[in-house]
Parts: sequence; structure tokens; C-alpha cells
Amino acid sequence: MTEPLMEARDVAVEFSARGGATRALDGVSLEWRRGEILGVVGESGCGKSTFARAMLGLQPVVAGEVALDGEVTEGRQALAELRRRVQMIFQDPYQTLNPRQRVAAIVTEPLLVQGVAREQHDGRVRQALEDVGLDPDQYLERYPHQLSGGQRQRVAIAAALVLEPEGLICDEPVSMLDASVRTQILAVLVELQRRRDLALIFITHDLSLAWSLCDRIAVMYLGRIVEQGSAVDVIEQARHPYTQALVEAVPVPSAAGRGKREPLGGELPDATDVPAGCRFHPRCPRRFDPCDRVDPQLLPAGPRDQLAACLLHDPALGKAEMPADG
Amino acid sequence: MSVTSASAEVATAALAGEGHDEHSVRYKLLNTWRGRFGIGILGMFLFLALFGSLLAPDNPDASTLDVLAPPSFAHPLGTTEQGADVFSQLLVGARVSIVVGFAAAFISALLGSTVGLVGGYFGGWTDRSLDALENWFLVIPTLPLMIVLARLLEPSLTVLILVIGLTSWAGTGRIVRAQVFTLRERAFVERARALGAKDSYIIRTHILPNTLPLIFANTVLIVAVAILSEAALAFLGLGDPTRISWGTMLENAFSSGAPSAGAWWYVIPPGLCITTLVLAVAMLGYLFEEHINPRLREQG
Amino acid sequence: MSAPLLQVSGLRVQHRGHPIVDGVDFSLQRGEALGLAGESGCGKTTTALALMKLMPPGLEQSGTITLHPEGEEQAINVGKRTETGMQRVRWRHISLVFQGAMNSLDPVQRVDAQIEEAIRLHERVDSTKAMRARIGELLETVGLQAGLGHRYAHQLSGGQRQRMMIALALACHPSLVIADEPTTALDVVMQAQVLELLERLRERLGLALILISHDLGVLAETCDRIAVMYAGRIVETGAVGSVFADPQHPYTKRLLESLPVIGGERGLGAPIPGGPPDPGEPLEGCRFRPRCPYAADECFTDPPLREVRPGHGSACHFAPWAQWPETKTATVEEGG
Repeated sequence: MTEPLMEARDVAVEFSARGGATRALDGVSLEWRRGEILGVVGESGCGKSTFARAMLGLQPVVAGEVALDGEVTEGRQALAELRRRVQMIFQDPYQTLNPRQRVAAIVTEPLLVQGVAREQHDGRVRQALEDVGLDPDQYLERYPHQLSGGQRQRVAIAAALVLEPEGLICDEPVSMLDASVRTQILAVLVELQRRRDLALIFITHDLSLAWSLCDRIAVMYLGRIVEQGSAVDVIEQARHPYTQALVEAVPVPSAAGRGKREPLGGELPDATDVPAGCRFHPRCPRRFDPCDRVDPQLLPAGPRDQLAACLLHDPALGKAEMPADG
Repeated sequence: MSVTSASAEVATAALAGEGHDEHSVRYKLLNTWRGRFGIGILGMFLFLALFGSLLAPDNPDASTLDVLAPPSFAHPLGTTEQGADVFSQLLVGARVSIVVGFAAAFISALLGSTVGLVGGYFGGWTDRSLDALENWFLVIPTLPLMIVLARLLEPSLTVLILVIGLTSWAGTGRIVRAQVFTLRERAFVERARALGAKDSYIIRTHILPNTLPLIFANTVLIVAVAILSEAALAFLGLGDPTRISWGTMLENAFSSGAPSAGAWWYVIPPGLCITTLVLAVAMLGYLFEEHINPRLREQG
Repeated sequence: MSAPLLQVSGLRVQHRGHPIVDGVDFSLQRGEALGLAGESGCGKTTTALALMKLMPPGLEQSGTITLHPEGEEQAINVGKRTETGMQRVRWRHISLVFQGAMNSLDPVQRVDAQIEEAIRLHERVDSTKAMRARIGELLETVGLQAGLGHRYAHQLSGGQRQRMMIALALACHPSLVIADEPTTALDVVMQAQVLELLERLRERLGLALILISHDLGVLAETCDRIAVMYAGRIVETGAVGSVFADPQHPYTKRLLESLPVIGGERGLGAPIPGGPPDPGEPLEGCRFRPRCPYAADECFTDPPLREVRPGHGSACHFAPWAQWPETKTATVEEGG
């Protein structure tokens, strides 16, 4: 197998809070392979956005390391290289563009910052806008407030792709958009991903979206990855009770979608107050004896490369039988 | 980037930024009575500041025997204790008020926005020390400080401008700092950082342009304060003794006992000029501030 | 069968002559849950506010809204009521769960005091003890411990605040609760909890519910009937099963096709091109025409909402659709 584009190795991020530090990420290891769409899913506050920022070096890492092409991204030069090859787009299309810059300036900015030769600017900016389905002649001179939410997000994508990066991290890129516009923007992203063989990280709380777009999915809970594997495995044969509960909770827009079910109780605890043992055990419907003492590791939990951090799947505890599906 | 071209840019950006007729600055300036009054009065005084000395019918420094004469055909606003024409002095005096007002406000804006930008953007100990300095200037009573400074230095136009500018920047600094704090967290600043942009670049292209309208509106209000301060200092005898200003006119009037002599024509016109100009500038300032504030709220 | 709880006909809301809600008719039976679906700006929230006659300044409503609550002799004509008259109807008969729970609770007042205020506006409760018991009971109904009432809004978690908003809506035993995107700010797990709670309350208290959401999945799981709004009009309405299994308006159909469904077919559905029409620009005929792949000459005349199957209405000239023709795949081009 070839080297992954990027890799997080045992990464931890801390935020200072009253009475000490909170671990927003705690020992996160994840491979981001070339050309793949990797979904990172979880509830708000689980650390998925922090993970994205840590990958790009926007968030200092207190332990572990982030690597690009197998090389640890430390120091000015490595970071500059990282930020040329990997770009990011953000959630809120109303916040992500400078209201005082015209579209032309917004999309040119990455070329300017990365010192691309001036004579290339015009052509590349126009190409980038065309790639996201905006007619340059019509949009170059506009200000963000003259654009709809979907158009703004297209501009943000154009600005991210004008440097022709190999990887693009999308932090909830469509969660603020209406359903019909949302599909348009996703279509733009998927089309570009295919055409340029981009690697994408898709940070989202929407499991349906992750299911339909991603090759692989990592599920986060309280700063940890609790399950990862191919999208099909993780959604259809979830091994971790938390993933099962998440999948179960997604409302389905279909005539057959309605049915009684028991939603998971409780709420995501505060990151300042991480439960001992398995961090999910207070809410877990399948917890058993050692769950409040033993912190589970990510271990193989399926026929392919599926991993789950749950004692149910720890061979040492002798409970390694597969849980009943569904 | 010089601040003058910058404020011109703000005006254009603000105009371009608001396509809707009733909410544009231009509409508010030209179609509300406050805007019209502000522009009209300020325009008139700006014209006097430029051409007042040419228009003055008489030599404002003249000494005649016609002392404290009431208004007449020759002297529409009477004469001073020196026998000079009050009307001519009034026309010439506009220049000092305007020059001091704008120049001091310019210095204040430059200082305040630099301190606010640097402190707000970099945070940490830089911000804490700049904040302490701001607090010091905010807490200390400004007029006594101005008086002390003006006394220590040789009175001149430059000294007046510097003294007023140096003592009035802290409020601007505070406002700019708060705005930069919210801007710093916004996604487009984060995006620029993710691109690998340097701090100087981010401040120049993202932070400053989004703070300029605020600085601009605030500076207009400081112009009004500076005009008043000049008049106050001049009235206390701390103005430039070589130049006629409305403040020095008032000082001369009072020290020569004009009010008790019933020479209202020597007291009321300069007082009225100061009040009208300050009112006009303040109205424009509030108009800009009102225009900008809802937008800032929406952005923050 | 008794008269419906709510009957709305010809409801219009205008802003400076531009229609925001443009001729909406529907009715609601006692205990029924109706889902109001649509994208932002389609008029669903405005419709809800019009039912309570809570128009923001600058908006004008017209049309008839008749409410026939249990135990009331006379039907209430919302359209004819004065502001004072409406104050007696609001909360007593119709209450509202707002979208942003954090912003709708007063941050400087304990939450039980806010519930107490709502009750006192409509009823006399003699003893403090009775009031306390009633609030305790309300909190229990929505699955909160009575002690949480003494807290301030910021001391509650997101899920607790949303439950508190529901308790507040139930304070005066209304017969109709309107919930405007009650779960939009919540995560899936919290959302499932709140939806489950609403369903349980409906069964227990015989409440009628109007649930407003942009999320068709949420509506599919909670409602009996659904009304899909587009550009100020209801374009399709019917039983949830019928609408989702066999949509009769191209908008509903294309929207359902474009939505990702967990466990369903992977990959992205074809997006609907363009965006909704600008309410300021008058559009002749069917509002969906510019985005509709099946548009024809007929579509330049206004299609009325009519019953095309038993209990299933569509505002499309070509409904009922026995078979949907093939369409070319949509492009990524930005329309509108």
C-alpha cells in the first residue's frame, strides 16, 4: 500500500480551562489516504473540528505528531509546504469570506500568499471559478453580500482549490445550506474530487451524508476515535454501541422510516469531566463489568480493516463474539 | 496605506457595500435632515477655513480707535476691544478650529487604531500592557491633562494638535481592540492563516479593512471633541497667541470685559460658530456610527 | 366527525406588496401532527407566526384562520381578533416552541419563574404550593427533574433547554403546539430524544402538533401528514406515507431523490439546479417552473393545489403522475 497523504499519530490537543486543561483530542491516530474521501463524524463537541485544525497545524498539538508524506510537519518550512498542499473550507459561508473583498481578491489571495507568479493569477482564478460552476465574468467583481449562501460556498471552494492542493479538509461545508443547494455544493466537491483525484476529509455530524459520500468513516466521541473502517462496514455493521446509537438516531426521509425506537439517553459529557474507563460507558446500553475501569483501545473488530474501541471486542476479555447486528 | 486614502476607500466600500437605496450612507447623507445639516454646515466652514482670509472685508488684526463698537454697516458684527472687525476675525478663525479639529482627530485615530489593532490581534502580554496604557488615558481627566501639557510646552498650533491628539486616542483604541478581537476569530482570518499568510498580511488585508469604517465614524466624533478642546484651551489662554481662533476671540472678549460691557456681538458669534460646527460634525459622526453599527453586530 | 381543530384558508402574508405566504389552505384535526416542510424563505415560519397573529412589523396578514378548541362553544376567528383578544388565545390554545432555545429563555430569570409567568398570564393559581406542584408536574412531563426549575438558562444543557421550552409551551394546556425547527440546533442523539418526547406528549395529552422543519427525515418520523411549501405556497400535501412513497409534485420528488439516505443507495443524487425565486420578482405561473425538469407550456398558468389521490394534494398541472419521465442529469452550473 502506498504512503498515506497525511497521518495523525497519537495526537492530543488541550485547551486551557478553569481549573486546568481540557483534552479536546486524546490519542487520535488516523490515516488519510491519497484520493480517498474520509468522513469524520460525531456530535458537536466531540473534537472533530479540532482534529481538522490540528491536521493543518492551526491548533498546537501537545502530544503525538502529524505527518505529511510520512514526514512530521514541524517547523516553518514543513508547515508552509503543508498549507500549500492541503487546504481547508469552513462551515459558515457567511463567515468564511471577507465582506470587504471582491470575489476576485478572495480567490487570488492563496496565489498571492503562496507567491505564485503574477501572470498566472488571472487564468487560474478564472479556471477555479469555472470549476465550481460560477461564470467568472459575472462573479469576479461581486462582494460576498451579493452572493447567496451556496454561491459563497462555491467561492470558498474555488479559493481552496486555486492552488491545486492534493488534499482538502471540509469542516461541515454544507450544514448551513438548504437541502437543494446542499446537494449542488456536494456535487461540485465530488466532481472535483474525482477529476483531480483529491483526498477529502469530510467533517460532519450528518451520518447520511457520510454514508453517501465517504470511502471510510471515523467516529469520534469525547476527543477519541471510537470506531473506524469502510463506510459500508461502519454504518451497516457498526461494532461500537455508540456508532450503533448514532446510526439508529438518524431520521430517514422515507415512507417506511417511521418506527418506534429507544434513543440513547443522556448527553455528551463536558470534556472537562471525562468518565473513567470507557468514556462512553455511562450512556452505553451494553456496558458490562470492566467498562467503568478499563479504557478500551482501538482494536480490529471486523473482517476488513474495521477498528473499534470497545471492550466487547477485546479478545483479552473473552467477549470477542460479534454483537448482534441491527 | 495612508489614512486619507484609506478613509476614501471606506467611503467607497461602504457605498458599494450597500446596494439598497434607503440604507446607503449616501442616501442618509443627502436625504435626512441630519445628513443635510451636517454636510451643509461642515461644508460651509471648510470653505471658510480655505478662503476665509480672502473673504474677510477687513484686516482682522487691525487696531483702530473704534473700540467695542456695536454692529454697523461698516462692521456687521461690531468691533473688538482693539477695534478690529469681529466678522473678519470670525471668518479667519474658522481655519484654526478646522485644522486643529481634523489634525488632532487624525493623530488620535492613528494612535488609537494602531494600539487597538496590535493589542487586539496579538493578544497576550502585548495586549495587556497596551490595555493598561489605554486604561490610564481613559481614567485620567483629559482637560486637566491637556492644560498641564499645554502649559509645559510653548503654545503653538502644532503643540495644540499634538496635545489634543495624544490625549484622546484611548477610546478609539478600546473600540478597535474589541472589533479586532471578534474579527480574529472569524473564519476568513482562520482561512488566511490556513493558507500560510503572515500576520502583517492578515492585518493589512483582513483586519484593517473591516475595522476602517468603525475607525472612520469614531474619528468624525473625535473631530467634534477636538474642536471643543481647542476652544477650551484657547479660552484658557493656552492657544496659539499668533493666530486668531474662535477660542482666542472668546478669551479676548472675556479678558477685556466685553460681556459686562454688553458687547454681545463679540461673544455670541464665536460661541455660536463653535456650537454649530461641533453639532454638525457630531451629527455626521452619529450618522456614520448608526450606519456601521448594525452591520458590525451582524458581522460579529 | 367534529369540526377540525384548525382551519386555514386563503392565508396571505405580504411585505411591502410582495407575498411571503401566498394563499395557503390547510386544516388540522384534533391530536393530529402536521409537518410543514420547505427550505429557508419558503414561508413556513411566517405561516406559523400568522396562526398566532404574531406578525413582525412590516408584514400584513389576511385570510381566515378558525380555531375550534376543545371545550370552547364558539370557534375562534383568529383573523378577526384584536391584539388583546389574541393575547387570550396565545398560549392558552396555541403555543409555540421557538427555534433557538437559548435565545428564547430569559437569561436573568430562573426558568421556573418564566413558566410561572406564562401560567399567571392566563389563569389564577391561588397558592404558591399549587403553582409549584404544577411546575413540577410540567417538568416531569418533559422528562426533567423538578430541581432544574431553579436554574438559569445558561446552567442547562442544550437538550435540557429544549425540553424546558417544550414545558413552557405546555404550561397552559394548549390544544395545539407549533414547534419551529425544535431540533435544528441539536445533535442526532438529542434530536431523537426530543422527537421521541414530542410523540409521547402527543399521545398522552392528545395534543395537535404543527412541526416545522427543513429536515424531511424528521417530519417523516414524527408526523401524520405533511405539507411541502415552496415559494410561499403549499405545493404538495398528504399522509406522510403517501407523500414519501409516491410524491406527486416535481419539487418533492426531486428533493427526496437528492437527499442522502443512510443505509440506502450510496452516492449523490442529482441536485435540483438553481435556487428558489426571489419573492420580490413576480413569477408567472408555477413557481417551480424555472427549476423543473418537466416544465411545459401549461406551467405558465398557475397550478392550483388539488386532490390528485384520496387525501393527497399536489399543485402541479400534470399530477397525478403515473410515471415520471427520464430527465437528463443536472449539471453543477449555478443557476439563478
